[in-house]
Formats: sequence, structure tokens, C-alpha cells
Amino acid sequence: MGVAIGIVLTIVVIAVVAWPFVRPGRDPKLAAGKLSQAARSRRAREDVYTQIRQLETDRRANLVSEDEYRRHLRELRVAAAELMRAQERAPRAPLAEEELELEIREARQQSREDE
Amino acid sequence: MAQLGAITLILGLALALYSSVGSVVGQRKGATDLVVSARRAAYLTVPVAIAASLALVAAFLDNDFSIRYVYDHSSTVMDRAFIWVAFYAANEGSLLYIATALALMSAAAIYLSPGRFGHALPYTTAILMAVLAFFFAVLIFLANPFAPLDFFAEEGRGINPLLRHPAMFIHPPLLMAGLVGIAVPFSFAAGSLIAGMTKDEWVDLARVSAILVWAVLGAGVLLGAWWAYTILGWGGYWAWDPIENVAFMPWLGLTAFIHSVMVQKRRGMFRMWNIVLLNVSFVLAQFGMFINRGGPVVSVHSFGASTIGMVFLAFMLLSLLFSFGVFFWRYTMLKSDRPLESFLSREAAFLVNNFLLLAVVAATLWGVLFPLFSEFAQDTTVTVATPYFNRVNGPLLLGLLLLMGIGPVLPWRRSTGASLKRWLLWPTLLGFLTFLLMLAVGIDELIAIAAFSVLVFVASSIGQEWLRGTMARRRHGDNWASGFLRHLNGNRPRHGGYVVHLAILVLAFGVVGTQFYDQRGDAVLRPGESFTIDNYRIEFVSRGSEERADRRAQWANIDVFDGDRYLGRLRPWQAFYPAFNQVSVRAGIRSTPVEDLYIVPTDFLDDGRAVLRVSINPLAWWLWVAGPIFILGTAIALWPQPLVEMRPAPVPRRRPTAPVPQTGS
Repeated sequence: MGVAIGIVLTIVVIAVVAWPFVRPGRDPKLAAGKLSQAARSRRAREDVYTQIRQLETDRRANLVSEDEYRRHLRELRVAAAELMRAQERAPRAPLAEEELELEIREARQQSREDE
Repeated sequence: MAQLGAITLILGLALALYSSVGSVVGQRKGATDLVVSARRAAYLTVPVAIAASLALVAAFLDNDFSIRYVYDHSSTVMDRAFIWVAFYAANEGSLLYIATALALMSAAAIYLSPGRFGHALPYTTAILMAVLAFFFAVLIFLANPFAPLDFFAEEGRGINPLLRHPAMFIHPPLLMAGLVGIAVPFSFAAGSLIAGMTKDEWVDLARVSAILVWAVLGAGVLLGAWWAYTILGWGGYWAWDPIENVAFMPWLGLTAFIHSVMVQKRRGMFRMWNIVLLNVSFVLAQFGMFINRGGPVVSVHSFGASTIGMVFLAFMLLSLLFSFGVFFWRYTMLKSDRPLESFLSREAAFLVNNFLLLAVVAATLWGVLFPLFSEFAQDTTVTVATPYFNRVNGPLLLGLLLLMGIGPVLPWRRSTGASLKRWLLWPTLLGFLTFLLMLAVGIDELIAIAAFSVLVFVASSIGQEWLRGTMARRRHGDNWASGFLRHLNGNRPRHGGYVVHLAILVLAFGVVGTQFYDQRGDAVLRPGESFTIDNYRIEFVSRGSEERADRRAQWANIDVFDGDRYLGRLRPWQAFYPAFNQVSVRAGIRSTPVEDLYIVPTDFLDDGRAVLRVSINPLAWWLWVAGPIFILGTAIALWPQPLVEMRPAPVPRRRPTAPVPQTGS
């Protein structure tokens, strides 16, 4: 019984590990990394925004002096502005609609050539 | 089931090795299929390790004494609930547990890591799987839990008496998972460095995983103290035993890291330092495994002498070489964004906190290693006992407590005198007032009074911040409760940290009380006789005994009085286990927030008398209260902050203005 379960488990393990070689495709993790250039920038901005929100909370609670508040806020605003500028400079990824349009155009051209 | 166990262990080793090598080769050669396949292999180590564990559990359930491990650690009369404890009662089973826990944590870490970490992930996977492969290799070649027994046995030896305690269901699993789990934050950092991502890409992942592992390890250490308190019968809970120390040191290293990483996150500083802290914590965890697994020191907590200690020593040295090798390779790329501007800043406070924590680690490590050095150099074993640790670590820990009240109120970058005065005036006054009051009412022990004053200082520093925040919320229309909760919610990582600080204060309160004001006494009583200690009168009423298949248990029925007021009955017991030639005791404890009355029967004499050891442990109750507060604080700190996109403020619509009359030529 134990040996049988062990053999079945081994076969399943080999099949699952070998599957990417049988049906090669993109690495979902890397693909997500590539796609998320914009997301990365957005995340960094959200990080700065969170810090600004926390700073506002601290100010309301009198946890930072007015000087400290103004100094930190200036730093964070500069950081947010730099991130936005970087995002504007970065090449825009094609939208899903544009990619779809391109595929349809290519398919049409292919079918015309076939005819 | 032994065959299934053997197959799964080999399968686990093959998968871990393939995943480790395949990840690196695939990433270097740009072979995506190989990287994906290697990652799948890492995920598959989870079902394979679980199958191996279930095979061992099934062997316990079947009382399959043809397996040596089952024979050594269970019997037909053993309570079935203790199978879970028997599973990790010795090296073989505990290593299988560790492999399973590491497989689970690794798979979760890999699966949950975000896409932006994708380029470093193969290296992280490779490191985690290399560590896992090591454990599978040890299981197969040196500590196989499925090894056969070389003679026929109808009955097993049973479980070690010291392990028959409720804490044993959680304490060892948490401790082992915490120690091995340090591999996760370490792998995120090291993987990131290898991939050339030397900025802050790994910081969030390492921080969250480090806090989780730190909480698990901390809870494990505290539960171990509770176990020692109730079952070892000496009235204490922490003896600076080598095994306690080797769990405590990586926890201190992680404590330093989770503070210092906030400086990297907020200010882009301490990049090198944080890598060093993670490396040190990881290597200390390996050191803990070495000492624990048949290492050269003896402890009530260790798994006993065995040959695998040297293998763990070799693995620790390899970990040291690898971790610092990667660090020095990328050293020049780990520059901080900005320098330290002032020593009166939060960054500097974190740095001092780190130095103090590492000083405690260094002093403790020296205490653990010194007997080994002395034996090696002079062929005589010198024991480093509790007084050394208390004298060296006591002031350092007190300094750390003091810093807990100062550091959090300092602003980033630099502080001003006015700001310091505003935040530290009241806590300092309250701390001094406590000091004077305690002196005035005649409380002795100056160090203890200083410690209590520091506790008041830190607690009032935290309380002051919460009070000011809540009052500010009240000015905006909240009531006290909602204002307080909304204030906490405004910055959960910080306020979660404060709750953890409160847990440490509560723990320190208990430690100071029990260390400085405990009272002990011994009594030999006949039934009906009584003994007085402090305000308690302890009357030995009668004794009882019971014969079981695996033990002979005896207990004392003891009535406790405060003067003439009856407080209740305690029934401390002791049992002798012939199979282990060992006595196990269970203390009778009457616990209140003020003090514990702790009674242990050390012997039952033939003439009917009982030998009792009685102690009064002031404030011991607070030691165990700290645990839930600690977990609560960690949960608050890690609870995800809702992401709210900040939108630009709407531009006010301009009113059409009258045309300005043109003037000039």
C-alpha cells in the first residue's frame, strides 16, 4: 500500500515538474514583473501617499511640530512629484484594446494572403 | 508506512536539489521553462513533506514498533493526543517537522512574492531549497525516522515524561518553525543581492516575513518559559540555559532587524547594516540547530548527544561563508541614500537600539561558547551560570527598555530641544516620581526600583502619545473609544509596535518582580502539619498515589490559608517513570496578579511525610499575560493598511472675469 502510494506520488511529481517543458510558455511571475512597470511606479507613489497621510494624522494629533511637519511634507511632495515625472517619461505599455486591434489586423492580413 | 516514508524523503531531496540547481541555471541561461519547472518542484516539496509526516503519524497510530522511532517515543498506553508531541520528541521526527514547516513557508513565500520581485525569485527559491535539501539529506542519511528496529518489540518505551505537558503541543513547533523560518527573510535579501537588485526591492518582503517569524519564535520562547515554570519544579522559568540562549539570540537579531529596516524603508539608509543583521540572525539560527541537535552542550531542552551535531556545525559554517560572501560581493552597491544627520533622531535611536541588542547577543554567545573554549584549551569544563548573564545582560536590557520610551518620540532626521522637552518631560517626571515613591515606602533593591521607574517612564511615553492622539480626534467630533481606535488605525505599524512594547514592559514587570523579590522555603510535613511563609499558611492535609502502566504517581493535598482565611486547595504531584528512570513533577500554583504561591513535592518519605519546596514569585502572572499582548501587537502591526489612492485636489472653477481694458498704445 505504502509503496503504491509512493509510486503514484512519484509519477505525479515527475509529470507536474516536466509539464513546463512539454507546454512551454511565459513565466507568470516574470510576466507579472514586466507588466508591472507602471504598477511599480504606482505602488511607490502609494507608499509616499501613505506616508503623507500618516504625517497628516501625526500633525492632527500634535505628534509633530509645525516645522517638522512642513519639512517632511516638502520632502514627501518632492518624492511624489519625482515619481510622477518618472512615470510620465516611461514608455507607455500598449493597452489591451490596442493589442487586440493589432492581433485582429494581423489575422485579417493573414487570411487575405491565404486567399 | 515505512516504505512510503522512505520514498517521500528521497523524493523530497530530489525535488529540493532540482529546484535549487534548476532555478539558478534557468535564470542564468534565460531558460524560462527550467525556472518555472524548478519553481513547481519547490511547491511540490509541500505535499511530499506532508506525505512523509503523515506516514510517520500513521505509524504512531498503528503502534508500528518495527520502526525504531515509534518504538522509542510511544507505547500502547500513551494518550493518543501525545502522538503529535511524540512526532517531534527527538532528532528524527523534529527534523521531519522542520523540513515540512520549511517546505510550507518556502512555498508560501515564493507563491506570495509579487511579480516585481520576479528576477530575484529564482535565487531566493534556490537558497530556500538548498536549505530544505540539507534537511532532507540529514533525514535520509543520518536521522531517518523510518529506520527499522533491529529486534521484535510488542511494546514501545513511551514518550519522555518531560514532554507530557500542554505547552509541548505548541512550544517546540513554534520554536522550530521560528528558527528555520529565518531562512525566508534571509533568502529574500540574499536572492535580491545576487540578482543585482541592491536597493530596497526586498525590504517589504523581508520585513513582513521577518516580523511573522519573529512573532512565532518569540511566542515559542515564552511558551518554553511557561513549560519550564510548571514542569521542571525549580520555581523559575529562565535559566540562561544554552538551548534557551540559542533560541533567544536569533530572536534578538531579528528584533534589531525589524527596527532597523524601518530606517531603510523610510529614509533609504542602513542598507548594509540590515543585510548584516539578517545574515547574523540566519547564522545564529543555524548555530541554534547545531547546539540543539546533539551539539557539545547538555541541556534539559536539547535532543541529547548525537553525531549529527557536527553536520549542523558544517552547515552553519557554510551558511556563514555564503551569506557574508554575497554581502561582500555586493558591498559597494549597498550605499545609503543619505548620511545620519543627527544623533538626536529616530534613525540614531534605532542604531543605538541595534547596538544594545547585538551587545546582548555577543554577551550571551560568549556565555554559551566559553565552556567549549575552556574545555578545548584546558581540558576542563567551566560552566557559565545565571549570575554572569544577569550581570552583563541586565544593564543592557534595562538600557533597551529606556530607549523604548525615547526612540519612538524622536522625529526622523533631527530633533530640537523643544520637541524633546514636549515629549519627554511628563514621562521623565512620572519615572522620577515612581522612583521617589518606591524609596519613600521602603521598597528595597535599588536596581529593581530603577527598573520599575523605567517601566513607568516608557509606559507613560506611549500613553502620552495615545492620549494626545485621541484628544486630537475628540476635537474632530470622535468620542474617547472611537477616537482612540481611529488614532491607532491611522498608523498601524507604529501603534502595533507600541502594543508590542507594552507586552515587553509587562514581561519586564514580571521579570523584575520574580528576580528581585522571590521568597523560598523548604518544609518536611506530616499530614495535618502546617508551614508558614510570608503571609501564607500551608497545611499538608493528606497524600495520594496511583499506579499506572507507565508510571507511579504521588500527590499532596495541600490547603492554603492567608492567616485564617481559607484560599483553596492545591494538589502538586510527582511521578516516577521506570522506562526512563526519570521523575517528573507538576507544581501546584496559586496564581494572582500580585504573586504566585508555588509548591513542589520534592519527595514523599516512607513514614508518610512529604518534602515540599515552597516559593512565592511576585508578579509572575504578568509574564504569561505578556504573550497575548505581544501577539495582538504583531497582528496590528502587520494588518494590511488599506490602499487609498490620493487624488489631486479638485481645481476650483474660475469665475468668468470681466475683460481687462487694454491700455497703452
